[in-house]
Amino acid sequence: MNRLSGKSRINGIADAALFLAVLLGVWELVYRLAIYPTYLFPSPAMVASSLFASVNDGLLQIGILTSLTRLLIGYIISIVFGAAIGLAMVKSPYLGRTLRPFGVGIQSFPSIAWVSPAILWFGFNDYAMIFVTVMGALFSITLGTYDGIRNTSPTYINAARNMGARGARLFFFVMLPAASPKIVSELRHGWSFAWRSLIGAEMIMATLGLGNLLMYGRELNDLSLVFAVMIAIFAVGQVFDRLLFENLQNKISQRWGLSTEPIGL
Amino acid sequence: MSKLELRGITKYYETGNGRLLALNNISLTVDDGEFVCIVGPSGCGKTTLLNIIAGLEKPQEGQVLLDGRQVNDTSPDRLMVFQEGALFPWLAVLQNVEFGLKIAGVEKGKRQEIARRYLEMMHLSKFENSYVHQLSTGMKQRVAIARGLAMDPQVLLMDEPFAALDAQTRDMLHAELQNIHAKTRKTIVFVTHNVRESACLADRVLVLTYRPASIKREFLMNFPRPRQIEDHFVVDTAKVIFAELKDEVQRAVSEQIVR
Repeated sequence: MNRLSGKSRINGIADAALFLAVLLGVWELVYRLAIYPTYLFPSPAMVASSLFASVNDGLLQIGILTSLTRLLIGYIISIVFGAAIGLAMVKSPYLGRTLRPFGVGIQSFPSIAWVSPAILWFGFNDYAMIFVTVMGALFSITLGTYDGIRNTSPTYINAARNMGARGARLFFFVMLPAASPKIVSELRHGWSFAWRSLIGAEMIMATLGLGNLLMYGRELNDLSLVFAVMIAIFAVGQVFDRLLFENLQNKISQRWGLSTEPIGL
Repeated sequence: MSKLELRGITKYYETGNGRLLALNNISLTVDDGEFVCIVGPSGCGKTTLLNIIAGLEKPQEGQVLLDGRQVNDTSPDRLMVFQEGALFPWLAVLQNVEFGLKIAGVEKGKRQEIARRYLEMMHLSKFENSYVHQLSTGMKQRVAIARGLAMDPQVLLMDEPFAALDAQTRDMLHAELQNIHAKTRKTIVFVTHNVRESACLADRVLVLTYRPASIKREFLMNFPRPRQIEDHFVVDTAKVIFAELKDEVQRAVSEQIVR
C-alpha cells in the first residue's frame, strides 16, 4: 500500500508540474500575441518580479502575517463556538431541530454580507474582520460537530456502554473519534470559508492584510502586484489545506479503510 | 445455582398503529458454565431479548438476575458480541481488544498482556497492529470474541456472530468457540436463526415463537463434544428442532409479505 501511494504521489507531482507548465505557457503566449496592453495583461515574468519585489520590501510578508493572524484568531473562535453550539444541539433535540436548517441556510449565505453590520458594530478594525471570518467558518464547524456525533452508529455506543464506558470517556474515546471523519472534513471546509471571508472583508475595510494589498495594487494600476498577491492568497490557502487537512483526512481514511487511494483535489 | 435468570420479561414498542408486543412473559434460567442457544425466525425479537439481558434495552415488565441479584444497567459482566462485530475502526486490533480494560482502569502493561493472551487464543497475534478494515469478516468476529473474553464476563452474550461468514470459516469458528467454552467454562447465551448451528454448539436449545416471542420448547443436547455441524446427531436433532420452528418461520414470512 505504501509503495502504491508513493508512486501515486510522484505521479501527482508530475501531473501538477505539467499543468503549471501549460498554464504558464498559454499565459506567456497570450502576452506575446499582445492582444491586450501590458498594463492590463502582465507577463508571468513581470508578475514574478513583482512578487520578488514585494517580498524584498517586506510588503508581502506583512500582508501574509497580518491576514494569517486574523485568520487564526477567527478560526479558533469558530472552532470553540462551533463545537460548543454543535454539542448543545446534540444535547438538546429542540436546538438540533431548529438550528440545523438555520445553519444549513446560513452556510450558503455570502458571509461578505456581514461586513456592513460588522463595520457598524465594531468600526473599521480587526474585530470587524475577525467577526466576518467567524461568520464564514462557524456554521461549517457547528454542523460538522452536530452531524458527525449524531450519525455515530448506535452499535459503537452500545458496545462501548456495554464495556463500561460512560460520560466523558464515552464521549472522548468513542463518540468523538467515531465522528472524526465528518468533523475533520467540516474543519477543512470551515478553513477555506474563513479564508475567503477574511480576504473579502480586508478588501472592503482596507487595513493591512493581503485583501488590502489587492486593493492597493488596483489603486496603483499595478496588475503585476495584484496577480502576485493573488498567488500569495492561493499559496497560503493551499499550504494549510494540503499540509494540514489533507494529510489528516488521508490518515483517517486509510485507518478506517474509507478509501484505498489518498483523497486528492 | 443458576448464573442468569430471566423472570417474566415482557417488552413492547409503541408504533404508529398501536402497540407491538415483542417479547411475551419470557422466563428462563441458565446454569453456570452452560451454553444456551436461542433460535427463532428473523425479526422475532431474539436480539431484543439479548439486549435486555445485556441491559442495553429495558423491558416493561420482568427482571434480569445475575447470580441471584437483579441487574438494570448495562455492564461488562454481561458482555455482548455483536452481529457485525462492532469493532472500532479508529483503533488497531490490540487497542480494540484492550478497550474495555482501559475503561475499567487496568494499567497499560497489564491490559496489553491480557489482550495479547486472547488474541493468541484466537490465532490473531500477527494482526495486533492491523486496522479493522484490513481484516476479513471471520477475523473481525474473532477479534470481537477476543475483546469479549478479555473482559472476563460472567456471561458472554452472542448475537448471531457468525451469520455473515462463509461456511468454512463458520465451521472453524464453531470448533474454536467450543474449544474456548471447554477451556474457560464461560456461561454463554448465543442467538441464531441457524438451527444446525444451535444443535452443534449448545448444551440446551430454546425455540422462540414469532411475535410475540415466547419460549415454545427447549431441547437438551446431551451429546459428546467437540461436535461438528455434519455429525449425525447434530443433523438429526436439527431436523427435530426445525420441525418445531417451521410454523413460526412460515408465520414470520407470511406476515412480512403481507406488510
